[in-house]
Amino acid sequence: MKDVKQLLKTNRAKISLALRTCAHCSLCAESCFLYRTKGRKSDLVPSHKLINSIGTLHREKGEVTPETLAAIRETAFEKCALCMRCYCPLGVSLPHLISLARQICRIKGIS
Amino acid sequence: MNIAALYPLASGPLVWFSVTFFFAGCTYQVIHFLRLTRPKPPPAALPTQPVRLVETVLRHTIGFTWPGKEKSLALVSLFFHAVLVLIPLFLLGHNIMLRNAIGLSLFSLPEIVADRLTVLLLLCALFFLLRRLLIRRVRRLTSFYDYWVLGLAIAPFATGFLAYHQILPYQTILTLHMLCGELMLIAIPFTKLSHMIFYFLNRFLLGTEYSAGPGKRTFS
Repeated sequence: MKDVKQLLKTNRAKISLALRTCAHCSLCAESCFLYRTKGRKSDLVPSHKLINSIGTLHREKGEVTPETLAAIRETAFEKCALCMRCYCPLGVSLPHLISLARQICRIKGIS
Repeated sequence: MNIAALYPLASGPLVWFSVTFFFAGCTYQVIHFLRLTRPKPPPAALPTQPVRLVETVLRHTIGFTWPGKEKSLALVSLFFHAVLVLIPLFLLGHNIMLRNAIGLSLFSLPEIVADRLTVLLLLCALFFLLRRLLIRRVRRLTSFYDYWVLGLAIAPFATGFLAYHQILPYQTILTLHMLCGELMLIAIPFTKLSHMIFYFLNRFLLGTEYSAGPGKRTFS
């Protein structure tokens, strides 16, 4: 778990900057092929995935319940293909941060 | 509480404090961003096919990706943000105060133009509000904080409109207008309104597929 905290600490400024810059405009939605092909569900909007994966881990400082961790895993692995095609008008690097959530899931032993 | 009694404070020391805080905060955020990123090595080679080369050059100069998939939202958003910056800078009343304070002023828009632009800006804000309330995917992303930020951005314009038309007690509304404007300036560097700064830093300085500028930096 120390690794998770260290990883979050190392990337804290970057994550915080991304979460603060995200205006929750949902303009990234149309750039996600999963959103467009899987019924346009709101939990497939890239910014939603960012907030509910690395955003949750950042907010909770890595100490999340197994249920929350399972939900983060589902978001980071199954709701995102890391195809790097998501477009944020404010320039937030969404896939890089979602990949960080994946990394933390792997450290915690679920992937 | 008599808000109008705060007028001398709102039109004097608080103006200088908020403007100084705004510029200092923005400078801090730019330095913070530059420290988080590092120069990116230049690409190995530019594309050789003429069309790809033109696209790349356009993307790296004027921003080829704009306005994206949701063109109407992009246009409303562009108009909203442009007017949000232009009105305070080029409003006659502000320029008169600026000239009285430091002896310099900017070009002023005719009052009728500024008034009509303010109405359009408030309509754009209503559009954003309705979008947050009515579109499911946006509603799920929205928290109370987003409504607060929208309110913070709009309050100086709504109170300015009311003061210009003298709809409510003038002195009270004018003081509120000043306080709202000062609060917005103070909030910009350290709240979600900081996307005003990070939009330019992210889109122009970071080297990504959607860079609208030179993109010569990357996160370290």
